[in-house]
Amino acid sequence: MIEDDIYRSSTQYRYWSYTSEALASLRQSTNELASERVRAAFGRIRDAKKVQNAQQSDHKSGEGVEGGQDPAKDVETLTVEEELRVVHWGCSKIIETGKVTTPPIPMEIRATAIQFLRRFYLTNSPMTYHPKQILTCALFLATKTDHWHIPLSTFVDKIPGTEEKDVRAPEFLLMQGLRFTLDVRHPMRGLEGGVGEILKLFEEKMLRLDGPDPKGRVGKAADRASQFLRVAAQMTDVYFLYTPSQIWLAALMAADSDLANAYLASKMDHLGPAAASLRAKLELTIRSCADMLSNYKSEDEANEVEQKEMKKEMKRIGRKLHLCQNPEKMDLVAVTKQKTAEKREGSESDKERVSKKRKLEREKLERDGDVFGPSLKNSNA
Amino acid sequence: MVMSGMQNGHIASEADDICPVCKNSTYLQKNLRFKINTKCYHRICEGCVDRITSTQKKCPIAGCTFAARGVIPRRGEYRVQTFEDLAIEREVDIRKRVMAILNRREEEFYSKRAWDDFLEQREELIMNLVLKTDVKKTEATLSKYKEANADSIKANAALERNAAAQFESRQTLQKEQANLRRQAAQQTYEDDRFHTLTAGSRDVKAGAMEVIHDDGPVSDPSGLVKGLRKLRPPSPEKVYDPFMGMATTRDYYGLQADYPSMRLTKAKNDTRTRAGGFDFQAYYDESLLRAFAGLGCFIDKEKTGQGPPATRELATVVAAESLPGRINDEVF
Repeated sequence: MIEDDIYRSSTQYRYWSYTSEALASLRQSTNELASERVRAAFGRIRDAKKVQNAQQSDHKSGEGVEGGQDPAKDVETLTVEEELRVVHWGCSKIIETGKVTTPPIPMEIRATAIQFLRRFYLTNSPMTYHPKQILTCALFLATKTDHWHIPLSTFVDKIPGTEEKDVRAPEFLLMQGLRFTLDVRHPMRGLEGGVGEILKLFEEKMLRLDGPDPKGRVGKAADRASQFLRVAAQMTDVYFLYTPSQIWLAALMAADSDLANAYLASKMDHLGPAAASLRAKLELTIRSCADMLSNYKSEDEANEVEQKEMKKEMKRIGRKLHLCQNPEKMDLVAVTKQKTAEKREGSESDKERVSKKRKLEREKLERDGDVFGPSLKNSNA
Repeated sequence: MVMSGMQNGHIASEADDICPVCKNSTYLQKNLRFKINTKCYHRICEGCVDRITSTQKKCPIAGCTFAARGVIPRRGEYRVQTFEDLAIEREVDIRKRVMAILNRREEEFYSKRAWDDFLEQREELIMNLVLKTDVKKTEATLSKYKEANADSIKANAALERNAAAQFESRQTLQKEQANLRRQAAQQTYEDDRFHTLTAGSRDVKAGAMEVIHDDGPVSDPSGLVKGLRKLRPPSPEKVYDPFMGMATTRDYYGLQADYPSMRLTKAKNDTRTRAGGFDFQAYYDESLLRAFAGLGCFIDKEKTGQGPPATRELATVVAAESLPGRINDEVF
């Protein structure tokens, strides 16, 4: 099918589509690598402290005993599930943050930002970079890529506790995490086209709809489906596992399964033998995607007990993350500054090499005596 | 062997030229004109030509080998001399005749070597005829070749004529152009257009043949000339495709003229939108393309290689790019 080939040429298909197993294993390996790095970072800090302690103990001899707890020994890192919860928190935060500007940032753009964040955290861990550092940058990047222009100063004004440099600092990092692919194919526009076609088919009597107000029913189903796409689709992994056209059909199925089935059946009949081979597989795929969408429960939808439970869990993870956050990447602004400075002036090792060379030269000169040699008087005597 | 016609009368312009038959001389008759026989190259005056072709029916020069063989000269066989030296006159005639038969063009040959070989071969045949060595054999070869390659000889001759005609017409065009430029120096626009028109026609070879490169060298039907290419008439130029082969049709849907209630109802009836040239069709098409692009891509199958993507190149690209476990290294 021509449309399928068009989609296959997109970066969303080429870079950002995974089977559920591949997705899980990717997250697992990311988590393991990040855990190692966090431990290594804490280890370095401990070593530095030891050296400091040793120097101090030289001054006040006898007093310096190994004091305080060892930070590297018992760093408890996040599990993959906990990491995912943190990323979810970041996604919901993006939705909230998008509301504060006037006019609020459109939901499609927030969805783009959320997908940026989700893609970024496939190969990066919240332990290395906390989502709160990344999400404003992701949102601002999404406004740029989707042509919804807003000046950075205005954007930053509306978000309390954020400065321009905080948004700017992680931009390259984020771009690299996104493998420099900024194209996110959303199912929202597809839903619009699909609903249009459903109504057209209905008008031409090619699709039979029951009920007293068939058009109203389609409208309602479309609204519910759109709601699914705005929230459930963003908070689950459907973008990685399914194509946009499958996602909007699944959302429609989750909203009004009879309508979706009737439409699919008529569509497949209309397509004829070309579509016969993929009919069964397509229905299965859409069904599983629809299940995924309808199984998602946002915090607001949950009952009180569950909400309490969720909040408690979130707090626990937050505390844990606070303890195992990579200390070397805490201040992204400083890290960026240092790196750019290094790029400009050469890395630390370069500097060391230069200073060592100078020292050697100086020593050599001192050994050989004065630059102009010994005084004439002395040589005569 | 020395030609009989060359012993006497090879200086046409000299004042005391004498006709060997009637002994008239230009000294007495200022307007006496001579003609030569294209077979034996004997030179006699115009009056004698008239007389001989109507009565005697053979070359009147004593010792002429053609006359001895009983060859009857016709009026058409006498013509005015071009070159002072009759030997050159004869060689040029032979050259003309042979070249009209062996009229292959360079682009017909498979390699430069083959073309050079052909030229050498042709020169050899010409010199055989000029120097009268192996005349019979050479003539036989030529006539055999002529019979076997009648079509190609005709085509090449036509091409040559065409090229000559084109050259001529171009020449006249250029002259006209120059005239025009001189006459109307102010009408620069007109002139430019004319110039480009004539310049454009320069590149088109008159009915040139297209070369098929794949086959190896072949020889002509008579087997005389070797190392030829196979040629065929040029195929018609392809129509320009701005989409470079990209499909513009759709499989999953057919675009309708209008769709109900796609949040555009208001805009559709708004003259301001319409006046601005907003293309609703394009909007519908984009929406429907988004709705169906990738409907038949099953990631769980295609990414594990069970149902590979449609094209092979894409399959390799996808396989190379989507390797999981590629972790970003230290970015900063």
